[in-house]
Amino acid sequence: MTDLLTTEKISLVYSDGDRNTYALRDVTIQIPDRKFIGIMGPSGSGKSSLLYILSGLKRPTGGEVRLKEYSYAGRPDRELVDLRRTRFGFVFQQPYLLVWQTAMENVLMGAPDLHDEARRKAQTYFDQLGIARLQNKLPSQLSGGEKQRVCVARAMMNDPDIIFADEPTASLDHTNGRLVIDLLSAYRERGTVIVVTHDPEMLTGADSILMMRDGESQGWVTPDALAEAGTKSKTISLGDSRP
Amino acid sequence: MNRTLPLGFVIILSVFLIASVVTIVNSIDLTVLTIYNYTRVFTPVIPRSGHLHVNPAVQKQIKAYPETERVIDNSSFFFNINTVFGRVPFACFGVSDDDRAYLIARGHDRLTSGRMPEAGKPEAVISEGIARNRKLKLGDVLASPTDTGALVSVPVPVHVVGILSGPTWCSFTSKEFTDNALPLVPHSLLVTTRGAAQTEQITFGDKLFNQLDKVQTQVFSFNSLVKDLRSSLASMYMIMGMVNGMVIFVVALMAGMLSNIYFTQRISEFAVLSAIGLRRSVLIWHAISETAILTTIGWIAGVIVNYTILSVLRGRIFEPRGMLINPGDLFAYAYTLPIPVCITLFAVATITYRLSRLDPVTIIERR
Ligand SMILES: Nc1ncnc2c1ncn2[C@@H]1O[C@H](COP(=O)(O)OP(=O)(O)O)[C@@H](O)[C@H]1O
Ligand SMILES: [Mg+2]
Repeated sequence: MTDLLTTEKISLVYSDGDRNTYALRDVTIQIPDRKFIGIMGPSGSGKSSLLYILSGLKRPTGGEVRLKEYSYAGRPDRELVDLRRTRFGFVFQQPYLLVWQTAMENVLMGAPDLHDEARRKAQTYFDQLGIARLQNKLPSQLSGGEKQRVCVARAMMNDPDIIFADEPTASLDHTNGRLVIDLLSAYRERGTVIVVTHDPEMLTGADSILMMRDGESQGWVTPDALAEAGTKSKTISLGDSRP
Repeated sequence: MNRTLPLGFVIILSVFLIASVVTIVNSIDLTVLTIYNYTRVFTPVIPRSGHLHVNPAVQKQIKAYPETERVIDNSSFFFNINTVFGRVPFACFGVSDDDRAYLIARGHDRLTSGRMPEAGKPEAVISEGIARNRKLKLGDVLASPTDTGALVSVPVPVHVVGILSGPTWCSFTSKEFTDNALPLVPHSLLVTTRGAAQTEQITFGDKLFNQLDKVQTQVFSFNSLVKDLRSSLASMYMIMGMVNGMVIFVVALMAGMLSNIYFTQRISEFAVLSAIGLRRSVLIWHAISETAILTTIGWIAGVIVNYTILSVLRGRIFEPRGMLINPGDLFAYAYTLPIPVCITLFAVATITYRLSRLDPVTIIERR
């Protein structure tokens, strides 16, 4: 079985004067195609750092990252920008949208080209995400949950291999958070979704969850095991790099 | 949306400021052209001092030109009009009733209130523009024996009996009045071309200016008059040009700096787009099209504001002080173009510079 995304001993070091902080230390994982993957761990455990490296937003200090055969740990900015635009989709904690553009225009920003087809596709996402009536509104006229759904639509426009979402629900209430997670997890029919969160409730539908601690991978768990561990102690079976 | 308001407002104000300053500066030239507009309708030829009439040989020469239509005998008195550069004398022509009607029609003017002066009476018709300039209405005194600074003053007060409307500033009395009241004033000739087009008259005026004996006569051709006055006002033009330049420079620069602040505030939007993979060139293109829309709307609003305000102030403030202004002056609006250009340049520079030094991750992490 070939994995979609693999890392080999990636590390990320922040140098603060003469002190080095390891945000990530020798993380080796494999992520398969068409899965809903969660990343969990305490604050400061390196979840975001891992996501940034996987998604080409940062380069690791050491190690390898590969999308199928394509290794991109050391590629120049321009190549990473193209990689992000063509292969990846993003949802961030804050639903950043261009304030001057309508919801529809913002979603079209995620499209590789501006054809009529892109517009039609955006239209279907608006319908699927239940925000069809919002497409001609400006971001300032939308609620936080609505904005985040627009961001989800934007992230899907280029049919990405992977959608990366870093705490996508952190600034939403539970209902809206749940809604956004459901919309994201539905994407596993077409690609992989990787969601970073500190809220285990958001990951009940996940295929697999990577546990992080102190910049190191603690291995994979299932949502059920996680729920159980949450009620008992924190001993979960961990250790493998593949879910 | 409300973050764009300050920038939009500044664009409107800047366009208004620059367009109005340029319009006001151009008022000097507009005044010059308006005062001398009548020399585009006919060309006065006056005898040099010491002679009451234009030399007969020169008269013959003028009449012999194929262009010549009429050579009208005239003698004038003068009254003052107000201009930005002080009071200047303006001629009230004394010609026959027939010639008067001919010249007025040639200047595309017509009588819109009152009547024509009666033969031999101390009466005059004047253009609307002159009436406004001097704040005169029917029955008021246009020129009086005690006027100071007039080239030729009148022995009795001359009253306004008619107002002319049209593009040409001019003033007429009757031939009988000037002949009787001003017997020792030299007679000039008002020469017209067969073609009624003003360009023909201007060309012919130049020809007369160049070909007639300068010792015998002085030709008031449009071009020579305008050139003389412009050169005597050269330093005023220079000062005004400098004021203009400084205002345009400062305002455009400030608008540009505001655009820098505006886009700095919004850099997070662009940083996130860069995070999702949009190339910098695409983001810059977005900034340009955004500023293009904003500046276009602001510019149009600024033009409307400027046009409205200047139109209102024209009648109330400027014209009574002898400042002729044209609120629709295209030149003035052309001078406002550095504003959108500057704003766009600063927007592009801001985004290019900020994005090149900014890690999108720092924006994403910001709570
Ligand atoms: N820009 C930075 N400079 C220095 N240290 C950083 C920086 N970003 C993150 N870190 C450190 O790296 C570690 C992992 O951070 P992060 O990946 O954001 O964790 P998480 O997302 O799990 O909260 C933390 O100890 C954090 O303090
Ligand atoms: Mg984080």
